[in-house]
Amino acid sequence: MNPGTLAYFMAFALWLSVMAFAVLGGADFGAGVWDLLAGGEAGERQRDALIRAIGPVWEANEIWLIFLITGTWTAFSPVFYAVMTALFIPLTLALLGVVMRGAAFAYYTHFRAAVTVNALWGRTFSVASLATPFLLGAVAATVASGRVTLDAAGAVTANVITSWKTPFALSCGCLAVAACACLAATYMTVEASNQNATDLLRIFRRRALISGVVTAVLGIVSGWLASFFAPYLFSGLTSRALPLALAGVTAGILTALALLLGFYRIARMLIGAAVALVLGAWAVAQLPYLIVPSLTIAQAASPPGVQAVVLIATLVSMILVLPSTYYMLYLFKSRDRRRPRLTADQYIQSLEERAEAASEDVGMPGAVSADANATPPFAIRSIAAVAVAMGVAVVIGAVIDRWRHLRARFRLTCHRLRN
Amino acid sequence: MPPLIAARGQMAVSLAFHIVWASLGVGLPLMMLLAEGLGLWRRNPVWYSLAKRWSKAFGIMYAIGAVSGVILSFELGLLWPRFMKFAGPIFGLPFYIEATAFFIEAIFLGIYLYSWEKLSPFVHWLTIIPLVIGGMASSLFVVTANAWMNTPTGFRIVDGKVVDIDPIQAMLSPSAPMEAIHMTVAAYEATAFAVAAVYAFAFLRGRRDSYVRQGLLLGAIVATITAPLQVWVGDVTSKMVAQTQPAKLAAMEGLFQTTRYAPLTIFGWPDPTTGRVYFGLQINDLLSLLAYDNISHPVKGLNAFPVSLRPDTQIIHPLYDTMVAIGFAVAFLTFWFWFQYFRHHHTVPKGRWTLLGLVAAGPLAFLAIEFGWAVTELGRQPYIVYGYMLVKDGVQTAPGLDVSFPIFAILYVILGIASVVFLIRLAREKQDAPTPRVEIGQIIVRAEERGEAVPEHPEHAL
Repeated sequence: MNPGTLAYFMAFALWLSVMAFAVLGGADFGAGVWDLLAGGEAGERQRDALIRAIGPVWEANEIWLIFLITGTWTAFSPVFYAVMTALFIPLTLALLGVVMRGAAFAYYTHFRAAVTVNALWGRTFSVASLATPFLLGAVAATVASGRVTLDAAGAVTANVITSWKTPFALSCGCLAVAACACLAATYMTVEASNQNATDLLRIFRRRALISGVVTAVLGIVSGWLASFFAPYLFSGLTSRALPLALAGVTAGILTALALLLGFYRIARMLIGAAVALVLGAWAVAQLPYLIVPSLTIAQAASPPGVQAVVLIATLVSMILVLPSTYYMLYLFKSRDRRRPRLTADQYIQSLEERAEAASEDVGMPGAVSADANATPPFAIRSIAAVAVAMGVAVVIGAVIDRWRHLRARFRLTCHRLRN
Repeated sequence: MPPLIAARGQMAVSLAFHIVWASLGVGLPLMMLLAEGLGLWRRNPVWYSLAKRWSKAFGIMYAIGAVSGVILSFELGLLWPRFMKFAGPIFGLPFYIEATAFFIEAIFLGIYLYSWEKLSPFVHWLTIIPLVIGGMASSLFVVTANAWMNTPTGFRIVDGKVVDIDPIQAMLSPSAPMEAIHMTVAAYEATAFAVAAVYAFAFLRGRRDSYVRQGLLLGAIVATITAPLQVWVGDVTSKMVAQTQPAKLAAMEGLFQTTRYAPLTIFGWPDPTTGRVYFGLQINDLLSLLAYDNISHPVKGLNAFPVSLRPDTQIIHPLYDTMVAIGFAVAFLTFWFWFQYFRHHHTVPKGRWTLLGLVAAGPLAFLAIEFGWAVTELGRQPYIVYGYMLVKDGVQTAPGLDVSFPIFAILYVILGIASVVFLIRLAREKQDAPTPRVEIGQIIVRAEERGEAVPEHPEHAL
């Protein structure tokens, strides 16, 4: 295989993880945005629904970002270096956003009942969920607009402080937030319809449509600004990438239709496709550059040996990850899953009831006090015996291992003493 | 603050923060697997209470470990972009594999935590298995990346350019097996001691129900398997360091002069200006014997290396000896625990000193992990890639490091305090602990199952 082709495959694989992160993780960020804006009578119920929706899946969705980062530094390390140096400030802020969102969500989900937790960590979660896509969108815009400049030796010459503060970056940042919000609201319509919560369904549908319109407007504005600030991108969008861009726009319009007509599952697929197609259009518009205008795919690519190994690792990874992701989504997001005859919770309940019933039969007295003659279960004793045996075996093994040298030292000492 | 110091400081606090949660993230799934497995096998709801309680705590710990891991992967680029430009293609593969293992963990953690009422008991228990495997794989693979930094292989430098990159060989560098095993065993050991410490503390406060007893015993069992094993693994790892990074060994042991029949200096204060260690306990011949299995084998001292390439033994030697001392002490503690256990007719030891020792062993085990990592990282310096790139040549050139370091340091303090507060709150929640009725009833049920006579006063047999 042509080494150049290998690099293109790798770039494509990395772009797929960008799309997966946007379509899956973007919705988690969007949920934070709606958490911030949840108000009115159903505000608390909206928040409950949002938290329940992203609870099982948010950590897994974040990992596409890790794939992107580790894949980039392995397969296209000059790109990684350039972006991390030139965009140090927005990426550090985005990182703070990712971390605060994750930690706040972990505290928020478990301790919502406490008012202070709700106020403090709930707000942190929402604000961070809003800030991170904004910053990542600004980073993307800066890369696409040719402001990450390198000199002949490959060192970064871009202005770290100002290169990312352009109207185009601002607009793309807002576009990213709006798109995330739209994704989240659309997904929530499916959640709400799964639970037959008609008022939540209405609320989220309205929000999906409004945020969809906002996203479309911001998309047009960003496209227009691109003609000034990112000419290469603009020319690519209007030529090579036009089919993809148009397909993305069409999918967006169809999403609105599907929402209006009540086909929520189809709307969910369409909005995901719309986001993926627009991102694909961006990539194709930028070809062959990974960083305009400094690094093409071929220039930044690691040697073919490395690319090949990473591609194989990606393949193995997807074989493991995709079925597991599907299982997770099936378990939590499908409506008509058959319940097992006895769930784990019910089983534990039955064990406790059985024990309580037995103790009632015997006529148990009051509280139990500690006693010195306790006998733990047989299982613990047997595991403990095995553990102790292993420990003794390790010690004996160490002594035997050292025996030659201990004996040699002993003999040397005797020899010295004699002389 | 000079950017290099800020970058090193930020990386150090990030790693120190992450390793605690990551170790718990590797070790707790094993404990949960055992606890829920025992609950399923012995049909005992008390084990289930333990598993459920641990899984709630694990949810928080894993989230913090995950976000601090995201920080680290960003920081490799934000703080060391020039290093990553050089090293990325060579040692990037284990990170990529670790991302896969982490992905599997995250998926099945979400499934495990949220499917108590969706899956049957056996299938629910099965979902912990990918968690355990993912945790172990994560730990093993990501440490091989650090091992590459210590013993770089899998590439050549020709005319200043990197050629012949072999990522698989880079992953299997000489120090990779021992480093990976040493860290993974440490994660299991520290988690086991942490679990034992929590329940030993409850014991000290007077709680004696079967929930606390079984939790303590499970922690003690896993600790007893891992602690002596770790002492041996540590020995083999140090021998590996003697072969591959003699400057690090010299700093670890406070050895200045290259000597045969080299003595082992336990603790003490090394002084690089005079080349002597003050107040240390010296044992003749032991260092040569331990490092090379041969008392007449010369051990290189720090003076054999150029001054600018010598690691700072004043910090490294005390940290290393403290880590080893903790390792031996907690291993001995486990033996003492079982000695007391079998001496007192199979009852959990209630002696204050034994329990206090167990309570202390929890944080001490994590301290040993922190010190061990400090030793291996400081001992490699001033190199970031041993023999190829210095730390100062890999650091970020963009301005702002002196601002980001304090921000992240404060962030870790906030997250650390908040996480501990929330975990303590979780521990105080009463809902999942079994009631005395359930405990006593369980004894009766078990007696009936075995066909034995039901005890007259079952509460005494607890």
